Amino acid sequence: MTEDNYRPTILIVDDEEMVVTSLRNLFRLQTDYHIVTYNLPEKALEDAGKVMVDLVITDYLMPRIDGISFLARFKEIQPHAVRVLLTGYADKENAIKAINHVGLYQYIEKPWDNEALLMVVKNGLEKRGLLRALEKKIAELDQAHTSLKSIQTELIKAFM
Amino acid sequence: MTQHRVLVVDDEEAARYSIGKALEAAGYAVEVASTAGEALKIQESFNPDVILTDISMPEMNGIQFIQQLRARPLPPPVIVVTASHTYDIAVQSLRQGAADYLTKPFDLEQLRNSVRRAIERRQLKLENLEYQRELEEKNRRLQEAEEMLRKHALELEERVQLGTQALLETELRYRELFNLANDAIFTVDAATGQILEANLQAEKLTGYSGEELSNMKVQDLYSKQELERVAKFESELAKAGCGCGVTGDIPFRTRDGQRIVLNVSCSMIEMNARQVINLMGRDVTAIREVEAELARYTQELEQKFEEKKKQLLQSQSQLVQAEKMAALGSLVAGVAHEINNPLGSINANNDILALAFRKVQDFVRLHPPGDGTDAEQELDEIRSIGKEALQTNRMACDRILKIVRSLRNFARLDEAERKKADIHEGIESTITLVAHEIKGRIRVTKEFGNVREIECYPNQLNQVFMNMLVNASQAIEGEGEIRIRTWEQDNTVRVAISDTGKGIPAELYSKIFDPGFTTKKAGLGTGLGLSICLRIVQDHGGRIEIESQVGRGTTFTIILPVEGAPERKTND
Repeated sequence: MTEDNYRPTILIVDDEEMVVTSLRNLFRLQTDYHIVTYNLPEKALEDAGKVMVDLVITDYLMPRIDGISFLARFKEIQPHAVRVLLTGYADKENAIKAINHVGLYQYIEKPWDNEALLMVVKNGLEKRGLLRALEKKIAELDQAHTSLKSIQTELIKAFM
Repeated sequence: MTQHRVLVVDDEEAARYSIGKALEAAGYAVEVASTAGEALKIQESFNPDVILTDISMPEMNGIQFIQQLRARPLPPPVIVVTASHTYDIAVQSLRQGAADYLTKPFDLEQLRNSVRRAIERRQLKLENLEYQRELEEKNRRLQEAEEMLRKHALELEERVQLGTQALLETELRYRELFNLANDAIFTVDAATGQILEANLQAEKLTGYSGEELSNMKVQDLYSKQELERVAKFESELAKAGCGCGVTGDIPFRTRDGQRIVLNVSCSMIEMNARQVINLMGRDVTAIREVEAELARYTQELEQKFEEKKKQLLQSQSQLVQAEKMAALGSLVAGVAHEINNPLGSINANNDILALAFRKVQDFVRLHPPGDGTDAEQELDEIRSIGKEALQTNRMACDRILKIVRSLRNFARLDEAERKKADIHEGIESTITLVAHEIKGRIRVTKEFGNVREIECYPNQLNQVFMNMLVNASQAIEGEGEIRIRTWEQDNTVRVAISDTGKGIPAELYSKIFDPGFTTKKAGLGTGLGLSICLRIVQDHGGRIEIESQVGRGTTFTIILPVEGAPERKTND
């Protein structure tokens, strides 16, 4: 983690309650991430503007909205969130086809390996963290630049 | 006795009277005339048998009278009575045809005799005339008869002549036909086989000249290698007897040793007390060869056809197998997908429980009972996670159990035999297995009626249900509904599977059950699904009905007899 005390937020979307429960508990026990879960993708989209999400894990095969469509729409709302797809065996091909379309970070096959999943999430968050740090640095630089500019203005004023 | 009539002609009344009286007394009918003219008139009406006339009379004398009279048909005899004794008058009158001559005075006896004689003569003359007429009539008839006879003879002669001509013509015609015939014709002595006659075609076919043939026996012409065929034919001919034809193929040997086959028609007739066989043969060598060739060819074709059929059946069963494998593939994919969720959960929960357990151990080690720390909250959280994990695992296990049970129920690997089964079980299992096709997108409504178990091969019927359900779900783009109804009717159990999909145009109804027919995108279907469904249902003695409205949806109704199809061997 590049930042201390930062608690990343993870969004989990799967129409299977048992999958959501299991994943949530896994993260609760193993990590200190903030976990948000949904069974219905449309509800998750509805609430997408409310919480800043660092990483989203979604099932592929869901009623009405599939995982790829969900990620595409979520990307519009939160473009910085790292996107992870959890796919079943039967829909793997369709999922892979759509990876580039939504700028997928990683896909994980069901049944998933817990360690691998945790690692993917950790790496994803690290990537997100680096990006965030970069953003922060750029912001700081901008800030410094702006204050420098204002100091410069002050100075010029003082000397004039 | 007839009374003879006498006419007396005299210019003297006394003479007339006396003669008349005398003749009347003698029994004659008498008329008198005073002149010859009057007498001629009376003669016509009275028609006397004899006339007595005077010679010397005024106006017309006796001679003239006789002359006049003779001009009439059948003049009666005239007796001249005269007073003059002249010989001349007598001769003259006799010359003129008078019958007698009486000279006055004459006695009555003379008169009567003369009259009697004259009448007798006239009678004789008349009779004679009659005879003559009769004779003439007979003669005439004879001549007629002769004429007829002559005519008849002439006719007969003509006929005979004509007949002879016809016979000659017939003979000529038959001779012509005999020689013109395209078939070989032999006349053979039945006892010896000696050839009595052979036509031109016979010479042509056998290669022997007519003279050579006339010195041969028919058996010399038969092919020596195939005598049993000939013998068989001959025995048939003998059995048939006289007047009955027998037909058959006989192999002959020509003069130059070539084998030819004649299709022979034979009959035996009796002619001049000996039995003669008429034998007519047509060269069928080429035809028989072609026929044999054709038969060989046909047999070859049949053999090839059988082979092709076998190949076709083989490739058909391969196709069916392929469809089964494709169905199995999609089944496996679906099942795998459905199992992945609970399996993933169980796997996650295992780790979670292990972790939770370790955390509890750590907690107990760090906080021995009664150390008074307020770490109860942390412990509670771990406890609730563990509880949830256990619950989730139970759910996941139930799910997997259900799927596996459905899978077993579907495949019925232990029940490949015909048995009584509840179709609802099969339908329920199938719904579970196609869940990944349906899940969330399609609402499945079940309206199960109270139906009896049916005699069936449950695993085969499950294949039908699965095919129908997958088809129904694929017909629905986006969200929709599948309704499954079951009921019993007319000793059949019916399963109606309705979808709210895109429907099937009526013109395709007859095609959708054809093997290879598909409207799905390449890779989505083999096009065999429905054809196999239909076969399975038909094997069960049932049928499939279809009702569809484009844009509204389709209903397939599977109709299965409760008693099942009559016992049969299991296919594949």
